[in-house]
Amino acid sequence: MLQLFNWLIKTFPSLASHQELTAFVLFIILGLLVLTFAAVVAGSLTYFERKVAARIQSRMGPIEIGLGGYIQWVADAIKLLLKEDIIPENVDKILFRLAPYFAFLGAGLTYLVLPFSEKLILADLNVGVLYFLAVSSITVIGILMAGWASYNKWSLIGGIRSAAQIVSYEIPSALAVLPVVLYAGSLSTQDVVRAQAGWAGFHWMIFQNPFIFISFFVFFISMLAENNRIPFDLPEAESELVAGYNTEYSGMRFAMFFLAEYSNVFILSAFAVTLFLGGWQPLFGLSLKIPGTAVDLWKLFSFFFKTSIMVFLVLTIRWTLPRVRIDQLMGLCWKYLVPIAFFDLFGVMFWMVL
Amino acid sequence: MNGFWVNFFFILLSLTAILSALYVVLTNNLVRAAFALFFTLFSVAGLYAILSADFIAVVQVMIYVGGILVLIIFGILLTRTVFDMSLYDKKMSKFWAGVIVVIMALIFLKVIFGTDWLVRSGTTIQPVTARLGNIFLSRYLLPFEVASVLLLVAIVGALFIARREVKKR
Repeated sequence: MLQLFNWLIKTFPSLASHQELTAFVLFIILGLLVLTFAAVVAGSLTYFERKVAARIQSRMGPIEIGLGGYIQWVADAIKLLLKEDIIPENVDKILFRLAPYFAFLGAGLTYLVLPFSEKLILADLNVGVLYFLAVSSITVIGILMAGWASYNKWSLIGGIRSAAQIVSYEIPSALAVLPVVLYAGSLSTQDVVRAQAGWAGFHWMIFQNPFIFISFFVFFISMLAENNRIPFDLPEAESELVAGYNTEYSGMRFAMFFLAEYSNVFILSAFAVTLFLGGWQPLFGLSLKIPGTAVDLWKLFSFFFKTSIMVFLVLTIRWTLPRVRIDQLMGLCWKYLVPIAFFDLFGVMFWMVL
Repeated sequence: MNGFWVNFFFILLSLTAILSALYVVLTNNLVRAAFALFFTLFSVAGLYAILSADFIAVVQVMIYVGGILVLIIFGILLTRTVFDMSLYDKKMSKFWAGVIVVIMALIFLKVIFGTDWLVRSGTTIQPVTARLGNIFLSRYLLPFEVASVLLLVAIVGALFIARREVKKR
């Protein structure tokens, strides 16, 4: 971001006298870009999810609206935007209105440190990985707020379940990231990706060390649980709670929750790729002779290709596995994932010292 | 960027922190007070970031917003009567409360005016994480270890209080 600012000042000397204004406009434009990107990714993911679900269940999925169903998600978004905004009688009106934004804030802020390519990152914070772990926990406040403000027992139970689940699973996911940070020697997401340079993926974090290989699965499972995906979607289990914390929501506010949920699917896959699977490190190394500017595009493509595969995996898990029970959920976290994560951490430490 | 925006965000974040903290103290709605704490804690993290303490800013969000605040809200939602509750304690004497507040205010004022405040040098932000780690494991190793043992004891104690006795037959 700072580089872009300096480049702008250098290229257009007339801007130098209005630095404050330039910075302000730049912030606004970049913020809007991130929001647009998040919305487009989340929207197209809903289409992708319905197609995957349909294939797994031998159905067709959306095929009617425009271009053989490809723009179904645009139609869905427009429909949700145009719906009446219903606020039930007894809800806590301020909190009810605020909750969807908090739910999205946790997902939206993580885009800041996501390295799409070597040069394409909003802010290369030197505490990037920690920042990702920190801001992704804001979502739970939005969910608790929605659950309480709805004035509805199912919503409240959904919210409380979600809080218990997210607070518990934050521990194994953070512990599973630590080995990667130790190996890369930096908390910056760009440095973590740079540490994975090498030919054809043999230098990806996941293959560097058997303990990190296990850590990857701990991270993946606990991220699934943190984002309330099936098999861990107890906060909105339809068979037990009507729809969990978003029961009372409709129209655009409901869409905000889904924007947050699908952004989280993308973020979960993107960070699994960044931390463990090489990030934007080009696939097949750079043994392919490609000209200078195409390298950046190839890196961008590598990142999105790997992320798409991870997204597909997450969706497949959702449509092929049954939901776990709440005691199994907590047992999995505290009895299996946390000890395994600690074991991995110590294993990596010994590996690095010896 | 430059001085103007640093000042702008400093004023914005301080105002948010102070106003939301006032709301937390003055409101009668317990749940809203807990949610308003979010703004206080988050703006304090922003203030840390302005002071180029990036690691502390992120840890503030992680521990206070992601951990402690969630647990506070969780606790409040699990209690029985959160609606229309009067948060005024009738047993408390206003006189003694006032005396304590005045004493506290005097102490704070003495600290504020008696300290030699470090002025942040330059506008660029230096990474502190590595330096923090080095200092913790060299110069402040003993306090660091004592704090770790204290936390460990607290965790074991919490588990001991919370556990359920299994009766043997």
